[in-house]
Amino acid sequence: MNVAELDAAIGDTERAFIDTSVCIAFHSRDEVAHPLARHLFQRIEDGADPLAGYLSVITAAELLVRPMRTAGPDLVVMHRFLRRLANLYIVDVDFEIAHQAANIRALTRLQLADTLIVATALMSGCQAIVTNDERWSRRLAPLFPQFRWIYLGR
Amino acid sequence: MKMIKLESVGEVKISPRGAVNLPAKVLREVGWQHGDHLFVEILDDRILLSRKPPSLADALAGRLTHLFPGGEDTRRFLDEERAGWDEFDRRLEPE
Repeated sequence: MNVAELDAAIGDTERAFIDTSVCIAFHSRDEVAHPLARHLFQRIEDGADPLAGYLSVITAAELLVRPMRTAGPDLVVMHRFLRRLANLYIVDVDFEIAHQAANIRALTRLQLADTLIVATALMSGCQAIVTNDERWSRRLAPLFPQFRWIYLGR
Repeated sequence: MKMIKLESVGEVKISPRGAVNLPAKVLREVGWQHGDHLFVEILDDRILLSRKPPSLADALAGRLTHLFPGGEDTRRFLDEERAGWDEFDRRLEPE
Protein backbone atom coordinates (compact mmCIF):
# COMPACT_ATOMS: atom_id res chain seq x y z
CA MET A 1 0.00 0.00 0.00
CA ASN A 2 1.25 3.50 -0.78
CA VAL A 3 0.05 6.89 0.44
CA ALA A 4 -2.42 7.35 -2.43
CA GLU A 5 -3.90 3.91 -1.75
CA LEU A 6 -4.16 4.70 1.95
CA ASP A 7 -6.02 7.94 1.18
CA ALA A 8 -8.30 6.04 -1.18
CA ALA A 9 -8.99 3.42 1.49
CA ILE A 10 -9.77 6.11 4.07
CA GLY A 11 -12.10 7.80 1.59
CA ASP A 12 -14.69 9.94 3.35
CA THR A 13 -14.01 8.38 6.76
CA GLU A 14 -14.14 11.01 9.49
CA ARG A 15 -13.51 8.73 12.47
CA ALA A 16 -10.75 6.17 12.17
CA PHE A 17 -9.96 3.73 14.94
CA ILE A 18 -6.23 3.12 15.16
CA ASP A 19 -4.64 -0.06 16.41
CA THR A 20 -1.49 -0.24 18.57
CA SER A 21 0.54 -1.62 15.66
CA VAL A 22 -0.08 1.55 13.61
CA CYS A 23 1.09 3.75 16.49
CA ILE A 24 4.26 1.66 16.76
CA ALA A 25 4.80 2.08 13.00
CA PHE A 26 4.51 5.84 13.50
CA HIS A 27 7.13 5.86 16.25
CA SER A 28 9.59 3.53 14.51
CA ARG A 29 11.43 4.46 11.32
CA ASP A 30 12.38 0.79 11.02
CA GLU A 31 8.79 -0.30 10.40
CA VAL A 32 8.02 -0.73 6.70
CA ALA A 33 4.70 1.04 7.25
CA HIS A 34 6.31 4.07 8.93
CA PRO A 35 5.71 6.49 6.00
CA LEU A 36 2.05 5.46 5.87
CA ALA A 37 1.58 5.78 9.63
CA ARG A 38 3.27 9.17 9.55
CA HIS A 39 0.98 10.33 6.74
CA LEU A 40 -2.05 9.09 8.66
CA PHE A 41 -1.16 11.03 11.81
CA GLN A 42 -0.26 14.13 9.77
CA ARG A 43 -3.77 14.01 8.34
CA ILE A 44 -5.31 13.50 11.77
CA GLU A 45 -3.40 16.46 13.17
CA ASP A 46 -4.37 18.72 10.28
CA GLY A 47 -7.35 20.77 11.41
CA ALA A 48 -8.45 21.32 7.81
CA ASP A 49 -8.80 17.54 7.30
CA PRO A 50 -12.07 16.07 8.65
CA LEU A 51 -10.27 12.86 9.69
CA ALA A 52 -9.96 12.25 13.44
CA GLY A 53 -8.23 9.34 15.17
CA TYR A 54 -9.50 7.22 18.06
CA LEU A 55 -7.38 4.98 20.27
CA SER A 56 -8.41 2.53 22.96
CA VAL A 57 -7.06 3.15 26.42
CA ILE A 58 -5.64 -0.39 26.07
CA THR A 59 -3.46 0.87 23.20
CA ALA A 60 -2.33 3.80 25.34
CA ALA A 61 -1.27 1.37 28.10
CA GLU A 62 0.57 -0.86 25.63
CA LEU A 63 2.39 2.09 24.07
CA LEU A 64 3.54 3.41 27.43
CA VAL A 65 5.21 0.19 28.63
CA ARG A 66 8.60 0.57 26.96
CA PRO A 67 8.90 4.37 27.39
CA MET A 68 8.01 3.85 31.05
CA ARG A 69 10.93 1.43 31.43
CA THR A 70 13.46 3.92 30.04
CA ALA A 71 11.63 6.93 31.54
CA GLY A 72 13.03 10.39 30.75
CA PRO A 73 12.81 11.77 27.21
CA ASP A 74 11.19 8.65 25.70
CA LEU A 75 8.29 8.92 28.10
CA VAL A 76 7.91 12.62 27.29
CA VAL A 77 7.72 11.81 23.57
CA MET A 78 5.04 9.14 24.07
CA HIS A 79 3.06 11.36 26.45
CA ARG A 80 3.09 14.18 23.92
CA PHE A 81 1.85 11.82 21.24
CA LEU A 82 -0.98 10.51 23.41
CA ARG A 83 -1.99 13.75 25.10
CA ARG A 84 -1.14 16.56 22.70
CA LEU A 85 -1.65 15.41 19.14
CA ALA A 86 -4.64 17.35 17.82
CA ASN A 87 -7.75 15.36 16.86
CA LEU A 88 -6.41 12.14 18.39
CA TYR A 89 -8.72 10.87 21.11
CA ILE A 90 -8.10 8.18 23.71
CA VAL A 91 -11.36 6.49 24.55
CA ASP A 92 -11.77 5.19 28.10
CA VAL A 93 -13.53 1.92 28.79
CA ASP A 94 -16.84 2.93 30.36
CA PHE A 95 -19.87 0.81 31.21
CA GLU A 96 -21.38 1.09 27.72
CA ILE A 97 -18.16 -0.17 26.14
CA ALA A 98 -17.84 -2.95 28.72
CA HIS A 99 -21.45 -3.97 27.95
CA GLN A 100 -20.77 -4.00 24.22
CA ALA A 101 -17.52 -5.95 24.75
CA ALA A 102 -19.32 -8.57 26.84
CA ASN A 103 -21.95 -8.85 24.13
CA ILE A 104 -19.29 -9.42 21.45
CA ARG A 105 -17.43 -11.91 23.60
CA ALA A 106 -20.59 -13.86 24.36
CA LEU A 107 -21.28 -14.15 20.63
CA THR A 108 -17.77 -14.68 19.29
CA ARG A 109 -15.59 -15.93 22.16
CA LEU A 110 -12.90 -13.47 21.07
CA GLN A 111 -10.25 -12.55 23.62
CA LEU A 112 -11.51 -9.93 26.04
CA ALA A 113 -8.82 -7.42 24.99
CA ASP A 114 -9.96 -7.70 21.36
CA THR A 115 -13.61 -7.31 22.30
CA LEU A 116 -12.84 -4.21 24.38
CA ILE A 117 -10.94 -2.70 21.46
CA VAL A 118 -13.64 -3.46 18.89
CA ALA A 119 -16.38 -2.30 21.28
CA THR A 120 -14.48 0.96 21.69
CA ALA A 121 -14.38 1.42 17.91
CA LEU A 122 -18.10 0.68 17.66
CA MET A 123 -19.15 2.97 20.50
CA SER A 124 -16.91 5.79 19.20
CA GLY A 125 -18.77 5.74 15.89
CA CYS A 126 -15.66 4.89 13.91
CA GLN A 127 -16.20 3.95 10.28
CA ALA A 128 -12.74 2.47 9.73
CA ILE A 129 -10.19 0.44 11.66
CA VAL A 130 -6.58 0.97 10.67
CA THR A 131 -4.07 -1.72 11.61
CA ASN A 132 -0.57 -2.86 10.74
CA ASP A 133 -1.16 -6.30 12.27
CA GLU A 134 -2.20 -8.72 9.56
CA ARG A 135 -3.10 -11.53 11.96
CA TRP A 136 -5.39 -9.25 13.99
CA SER A 137 -7.03 -7.91 10.86
CA ARG A 138 -7.52 -11.40 9.41
CA ARG A 139 -9.08 -12.65 12.65
CA LEU A 140 -11.46 -9.76 13.28
CA ALA A 141 -12.34 -8.25 9.89
CA PRO A 142 -14.72 -11.06 8.82
CA LEU A 143 -16.62 -10.71 12.11
CA PHE A 144 -17.10 -6.95 11.82
CA PRO A 145 -17.81 -6.10 8.18
CA GLN A 146 -19.42 -2.82 9.17
CA PHE A 147 -15.94 -1.30 9.41
CA ARG A 148 -13.59 -0.46 6.59
CA TRP A 149 -10.54 -2.52 7.54
CA ILE A 150 -7.37 -0.82 6.40
CA TYR A 151 -4.24 -2.93 6.65
CA LEU A 152 -1.13 -0.84 6.04
CA GLY A 153 0.95 -3.86 5.03
CA ARG A 154 -1.26 -4.77 2.11
CA MET B 1 26.30 9.48 19.01
CA LYS B 2 24.24 12.41 20.25
CA MET B 3 26.18 14.72 22.58
CA ILE B 4 24.30 15.88 25.64
CA LYS B 5 24.35 19.63 26.11
CA LEU B 6 24.02 20.97 29.65
CA GLU B 7 24.67 24.57 30.56
CA SER B 8 23.90 26.38 33.78
CA VAL B 9 22.72 29.95 33.14
CA GLY B 10 21.81 31.17 36.63
CA GLU B 11 18.64 31.48 38.65
CA VAL B 12 15.24 33.04 38.22
CA LYS B 13 12.61 33.85 40.82
CA ILE B 14 8.93 33.02 40.60
CA SER B 15 6.77 36.16 40.92
CA PRO B 16 3.72 36.28 43.24
CA ARG B 17 1.60 35.64 40.14
CA GLY B 18 3.62 32.56 39.22
CA ALA B 19 5.47 34.22 36.33
CA VAL B 20 9.09 33.47 35.51
CA ASN B 21 11.25 35.58 33.20
CA LEU B 22 13.52 33.42 31.10
CA PRO B 23 16.94 35.03 30.58
CA ALA B 24 17.45 36.52 27.11
CA LYS B 25 20.63 34.47 26.70
CA VAL B 26 18.61 31.27 27.19
CA LEU B 27 16.00 32.30 24.64
CA ARG B 28 18.69 33.23 22.13
CA GLU B 29 20.47 29.95 22.72
CA VAL B 30 17.41 27.82 22.00
CA GLY B 31 15.95 30.15 19.37
CA TRP B 32 12.65 30.85 21.13
CA GLN B 33 10.86 34.11 20.43
CA HIS B 34 8.14 36.30 21.86
CA GLY B 35 4.77 34.72 21.10
CA ASP B 36 6.03 31.15 20.76
CA HIS B 37 3.76 28.55 22.35
CA LEU B 38 5.36 26.17 24.84
CA PHE B 39 4.49 22.73 26.11
CA VAL B 40 4.70 22.59 29.90
CA GLU B 41 5.25 19.12 31.32
CA ILE B 42 6.15 17.74 34.72
CA LEU B 43 8.72 14.95 34.84
CA ASP B 44 9.28 13.80 38.41
CA ASP B 45 10.05 17.06 40.24
CA ARG B 46 11.15 18.97 37.14
CA ILE B 47 9.14 21.26 34.87
CA LEU B 48 9.94 20.78 31.18
CA LEU B 49 9.39 23.65 28.77
CA SER B 50 9.56 22.89 25.03
CA ARG B 51 8.57 24.98 22.07
CA LYS B 52 5.44 23.69 20.37
CA PRO B 53 6.47 22.64 16.85
CA PRO B 54 4.42 23.64 13.77
CA SER B 55 3.52 19.95 13.33
CA LEU B 56 3.67 17.67 16.32
CA ALA B 57 3.25 14.62 14.09
CA ASP B 58 6.36 15.61 12.12
CA ALA B 59 8.28 16.34 15.30
CA LEU B 60 7.45 12.99 16.93
CA ALA B 61 7.46 10.58 13.96
CA GLY B 62 10.21 7.99 14.27
CA ARG B 63 11.59 9.41 17.51
CA LEU B 64 11.21 6.08 19.37
CA THR B 65 12.80 3.82 16.77
CA HIS B 66 15.29 2.66 19.40
CA LEU B 67 12.40 1.38 21.53
CA PHE B 68 10.45 -0.18 18.67
CA PRO B 69 12.94 -1.72 16.23
CA GLY B 70 10.11 -3.00 14.04
CA GLY B 71 9.12 -6.21 12.27
CA GLU B 72 9.37 -9.33 14.38
CA ASP B 73 9.99 -7.31 17.54
CA THR B 74 6.61 -5.57 17.14
CA ARG B 75 4.82 -8.89 16.66
CA ARG B 76 6.54 -10.33 19.74
CA PHE B 77 5.81 -7.21 21.77
CA LEU B 78 2.10 -7.27 20.92
CA ASP B 79 1.92 -11.01 21.64
CA GLU B 80 3.59 -10.54 25.03
CA GLU B 81 1.43 -7.58 25.99
CA ARG B 82 -1.74 -9.46 25.13
CA ALA B 83 -0.65 -12.82 26.55
CA GLY B 84 -1.71 -11.64 30.00
CA TRP B 85 -5.29 -11.48 28.76
CA ASP B 86 -5.26 -15.19 27.92
CA GLU B 87 -5.10 -16.17 31.58
CA PHE B 88 -7.77 -13.58 32.36
CA ASP B 89 -9.94 -15.04 29.61
CA ARG B 90 -9.51 -18.59 30.96
CA ARG B 91 -10.74 -17.39 34.35
CA LEU B 92 -13.84 -15.92 32.73
CA GLU B 93 -14.80 -19.25 31.19
CA PRO B 94 -16.92 -21.67 33.25
CA GLU B 95 -15.23 -24.94 34.24
